[in-house]
Amino acid sequence: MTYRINTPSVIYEILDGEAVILNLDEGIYYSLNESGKEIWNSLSAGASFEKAVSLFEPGGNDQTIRNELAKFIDELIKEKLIVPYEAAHKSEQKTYRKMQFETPVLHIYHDMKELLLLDPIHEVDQAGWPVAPR
Amino acid sequence: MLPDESLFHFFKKAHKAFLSSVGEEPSDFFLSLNGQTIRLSFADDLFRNILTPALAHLQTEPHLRPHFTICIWDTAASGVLMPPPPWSRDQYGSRSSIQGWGDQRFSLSFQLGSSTLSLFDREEKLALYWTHDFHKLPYWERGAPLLALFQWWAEEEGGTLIHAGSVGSKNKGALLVGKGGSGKSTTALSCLNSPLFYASDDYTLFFPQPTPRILSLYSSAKITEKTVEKLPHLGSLKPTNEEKLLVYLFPQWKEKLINSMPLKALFVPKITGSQKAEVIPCSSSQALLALAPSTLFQLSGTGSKAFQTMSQLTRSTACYELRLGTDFQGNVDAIEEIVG
Repeated sequence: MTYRINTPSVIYEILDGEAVILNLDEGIYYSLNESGKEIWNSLSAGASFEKAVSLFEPGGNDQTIRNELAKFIDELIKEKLIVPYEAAHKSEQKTYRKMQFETPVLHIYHDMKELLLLDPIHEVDQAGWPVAPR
Repeated sequence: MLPDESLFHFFKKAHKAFLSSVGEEPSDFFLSLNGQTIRLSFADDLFRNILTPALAHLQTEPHLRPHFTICIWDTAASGVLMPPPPWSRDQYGSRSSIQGWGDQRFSLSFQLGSSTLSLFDREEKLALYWTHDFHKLPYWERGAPLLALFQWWAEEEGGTLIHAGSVGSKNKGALLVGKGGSGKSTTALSCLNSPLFYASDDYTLFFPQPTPRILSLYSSAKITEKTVEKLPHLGSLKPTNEEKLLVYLFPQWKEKLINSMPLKALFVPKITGSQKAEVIPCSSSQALLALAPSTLFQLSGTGSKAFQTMSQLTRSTACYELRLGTDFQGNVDAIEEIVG
């Protein structure tokens, strides 16, 4: 199983070691901490779950990494930021320098959702054009 | 008929409706932006008087071959009906989009709150802007008219429109970024009473090439009664009596207005409640979080291209958190220390 970014609704930029992600359909935006950004980068490049696990030094508890990663990916799917992708595309082969595991965190910001609220269409003119509310 | 083909025909019919609505000849208003001449071609003088006060500081001499033309009319005055929309009622979407419509040549949006249609033809460098009745345009549309069209034009020119106030000196411009209510307008208007120049309180054009610079688009400002109380130097401006007060800074403040500045700093204002202002450096990603969502969630037809341009902006500019004090002069002084 691999994943793809839910484009064109979802757009993102990586800078300063952080990811800034926008969901243009939902009016919600996000940022990721360092390990979240690394996982996001690898998933967007076609990495599988196993490949994403391999980004991290196993340390003492490999199962903890697997659990945290599964939880993080589930959250990305629930937020409609990534989509499971079964197509036979080439899985990512790039080898990353392993990093210390840190729980990936998705920061979610809802404070601008109202910008996307639709004005209701109360009436239309004879040609079918919506008329602005008085 | 495919939507693209249908849109081409609809554009032609809508343009014909504009030409029919023009009396003897259109009332043209020319403005200069980023070295280009843009013609606003009004079917009626009346519309011109409603839409151009916010753009008056950019007015320039008539030009025989403008780079871009926007045709502007309504149905109420001309009696000319707009051809029926080729899309259905359930296709009106968020960010004024019309779902499934628009392509590489045409962009379009319908703003339901103001009932305004914007159509942009990249190939012909021609745009259409229509509403039912100009007398019913809300104050925010008169204060920042043709927003979607200016964004599409800017994107064509390698820039983008951003939701930001802008102030500074001739050689050093600064952006004030953040969502509504973060202190952008009040801080920008406070600068009118200082050696700094004012370019905008809400929307600014940004062009990264050849060197990053910011351009004023509207010389209007939207303020509250409370702002006027706190900024007595605005007292002589005559606001309209609406939900928010719309004021036009041109010509009264023309000596303090600036049309273009090199971009040197970006401030993210935060209202703190403390008396003294404080400026601390912040990361590019913090600045992008303050700038991009409030811009992209409200501008129709924007996406990854505008986001990349904003990312480039925050990467190449010194970014600061501006912790606003209750002493407005102190806030201005803090900005002046960096871009004065």
